[in-house]
Amino acid sequence: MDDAGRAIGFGLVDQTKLMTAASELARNIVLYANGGTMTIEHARAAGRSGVRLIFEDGGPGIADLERAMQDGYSTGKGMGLGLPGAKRLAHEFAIASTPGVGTRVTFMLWKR
Amino acid sequence: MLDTDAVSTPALLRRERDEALRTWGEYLNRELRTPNLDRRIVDEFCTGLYDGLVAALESGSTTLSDSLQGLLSALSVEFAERGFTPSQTATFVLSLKHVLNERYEHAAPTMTGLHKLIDAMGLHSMDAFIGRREQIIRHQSQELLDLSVPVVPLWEGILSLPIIGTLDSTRAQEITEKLLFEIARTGSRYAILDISGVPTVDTQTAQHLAKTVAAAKLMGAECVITGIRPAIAQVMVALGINLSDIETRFSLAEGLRYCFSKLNLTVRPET
Ligand SMILES: Nc1ncnc2c1ncn2[C@@H]1O[C@H](COP(=O)(O)OP(=O)(O)OP(=O)(O)O)[C@@H](O)[C@H]1O
Ligand SMILES: [Mg+2]
Repeated sequence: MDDAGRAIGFGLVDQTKLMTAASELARNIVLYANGGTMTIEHARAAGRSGVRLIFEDGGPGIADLERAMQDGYSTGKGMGLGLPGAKRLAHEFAIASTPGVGTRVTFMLWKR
Repeated sequence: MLDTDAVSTPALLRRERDEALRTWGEYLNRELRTPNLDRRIVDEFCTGLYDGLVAALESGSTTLSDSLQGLLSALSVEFAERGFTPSQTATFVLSLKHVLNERYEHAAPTMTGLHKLIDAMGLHSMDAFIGRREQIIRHQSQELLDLSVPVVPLWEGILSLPIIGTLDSTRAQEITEKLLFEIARTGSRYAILDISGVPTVDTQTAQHLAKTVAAAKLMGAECVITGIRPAIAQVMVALGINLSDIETRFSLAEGLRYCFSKLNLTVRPET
């Protein structure tokens, strides 16, 4: 994680953003979906370069996505800031979830 | 000379005790390669195990007596603490079988009870050895944890707690316990939690910190959080983490200055 950010030359702030988002989204998968996968990609587009993190799980999914993306909403004992916070840390953020099938979160940070 | 009657095997072993013990001791000296093991300790264990074995055979018991188990445990603990390997420990016990086999080769059929007992002794010594080793490892990791949670009294009534590394739930729990203990022990009213050694503060870390601060407050101590690096501050704001009801300062020195002022202490140059 650290290496991926450093490899493409992220600054300290972006490095910290990447680590923190990864920590949030990975913890969600462990807590709510009983495990899943994280993929790190080196993304390139229109002369830009960045890091894309993809979190996929085959857990219970999220029934009300809109609510899950709200600050302070947690079905556990959390602060309910992981998902909305990760979105604010990202340049691009996408979440798709199907109840009973699983959840997929994409987190993208471009090099500035 | 050999009595092949099964019933009298213990009697035979008892009669030839000294000779058998000598052979065993020599065998161990040759095979174990443990130069730093006192000969007297070896002899003591050998004698105890041999007599315990004979007593077990006499009583017809197929399980190990408490005293024999105790002796085996003592041996294994001794070996584990001296850094010997499991195979050295097992060799010590199981070699008795080897020694007796050589001495009473043609009496082998009468020896099955004996073999079973020695096997049980070997197994018990392994259990005890591993148990002790695990205990040592647990102890060492506890020591490491304690080391990683140093609560340092900075001034009368002011504790400081440099947190280094990831603040996961286990560490947060350790830190809180240690801090509360030190607050009670020293009667401190202020504690500075310095997180400059924490790589990231995510929602879970922040929640742990808030809980630690709240617990300290219940004990009458105020916490000041210091060492929030600029990158971490930005990320915390983006995440929406609000620590506004907790006193925060940029550096440990600033945190100390805050505590001084609350305690009505001033630091000024000598005039
Ligand atoms: N991968 C997932 N699978 C199923 N449910 C999820 C998943 N990720 C999040 N959720 C649901 O969305 C809610 C909000 O998640 P979010 O990360 O924002 O908050 P939290 O994990 O509850 O608390 P925090 O992250 O602040 O410690 C969770 O409480 C959980 O119900
Ligand atoms: Mg979360």
